[in-house]
Amino acid sequence: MKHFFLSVLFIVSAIVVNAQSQLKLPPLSPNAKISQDFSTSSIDISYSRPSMRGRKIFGDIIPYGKPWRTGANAPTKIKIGEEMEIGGQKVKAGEYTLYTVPGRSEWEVILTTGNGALPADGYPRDLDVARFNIKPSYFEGDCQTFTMLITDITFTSCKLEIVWERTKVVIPIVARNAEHIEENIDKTLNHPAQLPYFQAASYYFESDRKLDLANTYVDKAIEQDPKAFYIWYLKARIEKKLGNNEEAVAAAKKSMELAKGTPNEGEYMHNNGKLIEEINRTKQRRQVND
Amino acid sequence: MTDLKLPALSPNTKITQDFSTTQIEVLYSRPSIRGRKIFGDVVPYGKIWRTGANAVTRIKTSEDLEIAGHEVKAGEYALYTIPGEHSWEVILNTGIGNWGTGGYSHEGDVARFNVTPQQAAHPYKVFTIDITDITFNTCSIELMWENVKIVIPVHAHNEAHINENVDRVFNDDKAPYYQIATYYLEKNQHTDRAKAAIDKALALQPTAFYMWHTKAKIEKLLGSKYEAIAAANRSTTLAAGTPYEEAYKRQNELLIADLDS
Repeated sequence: MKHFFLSVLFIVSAIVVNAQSQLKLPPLSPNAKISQDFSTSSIDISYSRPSMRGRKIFGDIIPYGKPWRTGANAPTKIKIGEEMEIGGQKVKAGEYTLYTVPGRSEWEVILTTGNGALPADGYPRDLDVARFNIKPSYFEGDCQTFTMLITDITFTSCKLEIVWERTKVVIPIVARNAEHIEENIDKTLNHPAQLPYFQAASYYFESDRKLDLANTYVDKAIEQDPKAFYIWYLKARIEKKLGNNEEAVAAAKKSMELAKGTPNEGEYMHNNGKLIEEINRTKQRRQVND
Repeated sequence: MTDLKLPALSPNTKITQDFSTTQIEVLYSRPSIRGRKIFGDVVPYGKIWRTGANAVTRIKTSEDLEIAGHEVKAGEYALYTIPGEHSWEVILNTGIGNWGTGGYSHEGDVARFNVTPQQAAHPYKVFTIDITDITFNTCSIELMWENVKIVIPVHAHNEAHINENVDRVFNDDKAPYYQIATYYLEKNQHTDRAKAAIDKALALQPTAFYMWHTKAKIEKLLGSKYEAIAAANRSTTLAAGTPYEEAYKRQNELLIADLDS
């Protein structure tokens, strides 16, 4: 499709930081990112926001009947954390490019796995994951800056609003996960594995008694929650106390790996690192004595 | 300890918005009306509110900004409000780790001002913070819930700084001349500098049809009619055969028609 006026201009002017000269200029269509927790996952939107700047938008700058990147600069991206129904169509977890074809009385909304580059000869449908029509509604008061908003959020539904000038397009989103949630509730409440093994292991370890039992319990706690870095750190300490140095180092390393990217990363890097260092030091001492 | 994931009553949101030469981040939880009366009831008038749910709402800026007339340094702040029927008090405070209103201390205030609440264009079921009306150096932070809208004006006082930086790099061959030209053209300021910049940009990339269109706009602004027409025609010619042919042809024609009228 041919009608992408200003697109090149937008792309070029978006490069606001020139590496050589370190000149920062305000962008015409600044980038925005929204990360919205929704139901049992999340919706992430990343887009560029052009403004009206005295221009007529729909039917002029953004012509009717032609695909639009639904923003400016790089194409708008939507990422969903789990399967959802968007505009009545099932969409799997993943990141997609959002296109729209604005129209006076109807908009076409397209989600695609394409990377966003629109070929000149039309829109490739084979990459579509959803395509549906929505009637635009009237937005009261000029919306100067192109806006995407997630609103009307309930446990299992929300709306994605696309607003610019006096036009609003509302895309319904539904998380069909009620059954899955109920299954999880059932599993969590009725599963005997949810016994407080971590607390029990921690108790025996801290009071320096029944360390073998502490080790059995910490293994069960890891089974319940294999990604909990703090449980792996307890395991490392128990193994160390039991003299199982190899197992202790392995658990400490696992704890560090899992703590990465969490707010506790620094603390766990430090503590596990210290534990490994202590074990190495004892080993060296032994070698010297031998 | 369990990985039971349940939908939240007031889900978290993070907004990251580039604005002027800075970036604004808003971190908040979004409660819903759920059949309740909000202002004057669930959120009482005259009492400090976390401006959201759960942890206090946070606003972060990477550069100094003027918020509702108050100089606010780069940093992260807790956003408290005291809703009222006719006037809201908005407070930016250093207590970013606070949960709810617990831990709020007057001494941490960095800005405190009043805003007259407006009627929202339509009711908002879910508490919403939006950054909108974005220009090169102004934007608004809007808070909306039920029928209430609070608009907080934000201003980046960086024009002098940007001008200095442009001066500094202007004679450097690698300066981003096209962006400089666009910036001054759109601001309708220093148009002579915009012209000098677009000419330098075109000297480096003489076949860039979008730059020729920008030159046409700058020449038009400067009242140089013939130069504007020549540049617009050049833009149309160079855009031929690209996916942008039709769009640039039309925009260049509109520009020329505007000059003739």
